[in-house]
Amino acid sequence: MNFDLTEDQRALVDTVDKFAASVIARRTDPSSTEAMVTGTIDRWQEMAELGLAGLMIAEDDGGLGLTMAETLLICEALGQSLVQPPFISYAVIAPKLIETSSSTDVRTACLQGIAGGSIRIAMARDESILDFDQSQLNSRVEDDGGTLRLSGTKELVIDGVTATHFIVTAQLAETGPNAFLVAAGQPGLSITPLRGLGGGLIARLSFDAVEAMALFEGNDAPVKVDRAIDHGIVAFCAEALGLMNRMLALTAGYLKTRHQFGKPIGSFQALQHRFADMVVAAEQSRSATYMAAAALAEEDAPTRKQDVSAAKSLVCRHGRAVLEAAIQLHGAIGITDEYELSRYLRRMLEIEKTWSDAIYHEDRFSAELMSRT
Amino acid sequence: MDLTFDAADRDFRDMIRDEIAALVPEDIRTRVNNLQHLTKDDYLRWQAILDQRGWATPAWPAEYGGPGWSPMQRVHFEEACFLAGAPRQIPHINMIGPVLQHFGTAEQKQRYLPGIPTLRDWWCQGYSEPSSGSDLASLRTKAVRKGDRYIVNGQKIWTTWAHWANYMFCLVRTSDHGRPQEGITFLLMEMDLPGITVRPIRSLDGAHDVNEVFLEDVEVPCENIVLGENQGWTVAKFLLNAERTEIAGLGQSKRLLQFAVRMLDRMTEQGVSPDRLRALRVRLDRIRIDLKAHEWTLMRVIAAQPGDPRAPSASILKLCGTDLLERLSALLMDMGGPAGLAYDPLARGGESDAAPPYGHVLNGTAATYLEFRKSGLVGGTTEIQKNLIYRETVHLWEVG
Repeated sequence: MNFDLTEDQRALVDTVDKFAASVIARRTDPSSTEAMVTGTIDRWQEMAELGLAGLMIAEDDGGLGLTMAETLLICEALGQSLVQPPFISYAVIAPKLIETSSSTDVRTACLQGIAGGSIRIAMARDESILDFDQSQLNSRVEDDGGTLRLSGTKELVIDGVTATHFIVTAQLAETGPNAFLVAAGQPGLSITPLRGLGGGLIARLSFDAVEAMALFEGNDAPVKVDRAIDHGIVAFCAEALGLMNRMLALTAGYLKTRHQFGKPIGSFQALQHRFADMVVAAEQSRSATYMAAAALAEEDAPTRKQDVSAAKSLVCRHGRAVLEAAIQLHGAIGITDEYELSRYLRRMLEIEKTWSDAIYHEDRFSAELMSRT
Repeated sequence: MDLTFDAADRDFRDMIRDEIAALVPEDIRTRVNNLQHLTKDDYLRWQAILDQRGWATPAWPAEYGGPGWSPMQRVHFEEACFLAGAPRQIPHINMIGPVLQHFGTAEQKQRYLPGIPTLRDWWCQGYSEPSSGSDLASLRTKAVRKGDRYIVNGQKIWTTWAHWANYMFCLVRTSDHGRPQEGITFLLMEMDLPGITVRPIRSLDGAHDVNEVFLEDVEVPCENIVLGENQGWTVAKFLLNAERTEIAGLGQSKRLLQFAVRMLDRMTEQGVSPDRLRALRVRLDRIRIDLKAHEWTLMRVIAAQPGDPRAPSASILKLCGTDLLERLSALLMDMGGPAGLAYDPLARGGESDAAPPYGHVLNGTAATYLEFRKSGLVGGTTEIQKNLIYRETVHLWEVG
């Protein structure tokens, strides 16, 4: 256990910071969905050229073979600059699932394509819109004379609009739930782009007998999907750390420069204490995120689920506290859309709802704990 | 950054847990698990057991007969003791010991250090005064030099276990010049000197842990100064830094969590309504989550190099540790339900052998809540910690 950055890790963060700065310098107001899609794909190609798309992929499969620690550093840096590339979907969740596929061919082809940036896979799992419950799995796959065909609807698919492929969870008649690889652009697959709370795009997918390929032979697909998504959740927690850093920085600056009653508002103890609460929330969030990353490395499913859910619920809860305090300490400027804070706090809320919120994860934490005793 | 566990560290944690669990005497464990107070004799017996094992002074370096543990190993030791139902470590062992080792003269070390591991010499800390709490540097207990002695007059308060102590280390005023911090001296004295009177203070739960200590023309030899006249603030600050991992209260929180889990099991067995159980379980599990994060903050503080601006402030450890103790003790009270209406402080304090009407554990639930109201006050109040956090961190956030 060591919390200091190595030379290589510093260089990696530096690379991401420079990439983010160049994206921000070129940023224009996204006028249309098409422009947003093109921009996202172009930026993703740039990240792939920097090697970042294959960060977690083994060197033999064309990746860098790095660990969750590096992923956290990248995500935090991306959160701080609010660049929001589809890094977690394409470079964390997808490869973490594909690496467990039963087919060596699929594994090799997909992982190399992901690392190179040509294959962008989004995870399509959820079907409910008022619950994060995944037990209702209505999407079905039928065997149509040797060809598998998928039908159903998937809601709120993160980074789905810019994906080349989807991993879709569905029931395969007789054998039960599995995960399927589906290429975009096929007949029967319709993708509806939705504007996200954080300003990006989210997809609603509808499948009507779309050709699909099963990723797993056995019945352990749900276990493997959970594991992959848990990696993504920890990465989102790290992005939230970056958001909190920026919200703290904006607030600290405001406390020093804003004057009322003839002095900086940061000289008032009530406001100092609210800021201290923000610092504590951010530090506890960081601790929880590191804890969850360590649990991922242990590869023990109950421990992993407990610690990942502990971290996600804590980061959601503390993220909410940080953004609320940031608004309050900024006063009325904090409730304007124009001020920078607005984008950070909307992204924070988006992360809350990405791969389940605090309520869901506290429940999952409790359930894992009870199943163990 | 490498977020994988160190195998040697885990081995040590497992080893110390097993060993400590095997060492705790059954009657002491029972009293601890009954949420009762311990007697001085309990502490002395446990300390003797630790001394035999070479673990009586966990924070002391090997050259002074300590186990030479790393800060993380000390955390594991402390946690093992709490989880096994052992008495808590007498904090003053880890305070006065390192102070003397660092600042004491050869004579002071020779005279005072040998009595500490066995608690043959029991030290108390004379810091707070009736008018000097958070603003400790304003303290007014005066030591006036007369030949080769000081004449000390004043009053200390909230002095834990002064009634069991035969020595006190205290802060006294030796000068009124300059900043208040510059006129303070760190002084050692025997508790049986003429002019020292100890008066008990009962706490909210009826227990007697803290005292008032009156000092009236107490004559203390000048050689009992540590470091030097008017240098006491330096010693006091060193001491604060030495306890920065203990203030996290991690072991204490884990013990209260253990009680809460047992209570929930008992309530489940006794058919408490599912709605009530669920409400309590949600609170319990949220505390568990926050406790996990707290543990990692402690690991990050320990791993940090001195002066690293990215390291969490030790004040965060105190703040979060306090928050957990307050919430856990409140949860225990709520778990006690209607049984908490009845309370027998004498049974809890071991001053009476009579069993309380609903048993010791239920007798201790509301009392534990009352007992832990102190946690946001001792060692710097929550509000002082927040002042410090603001001061230490606000400049680190540069708007770019």
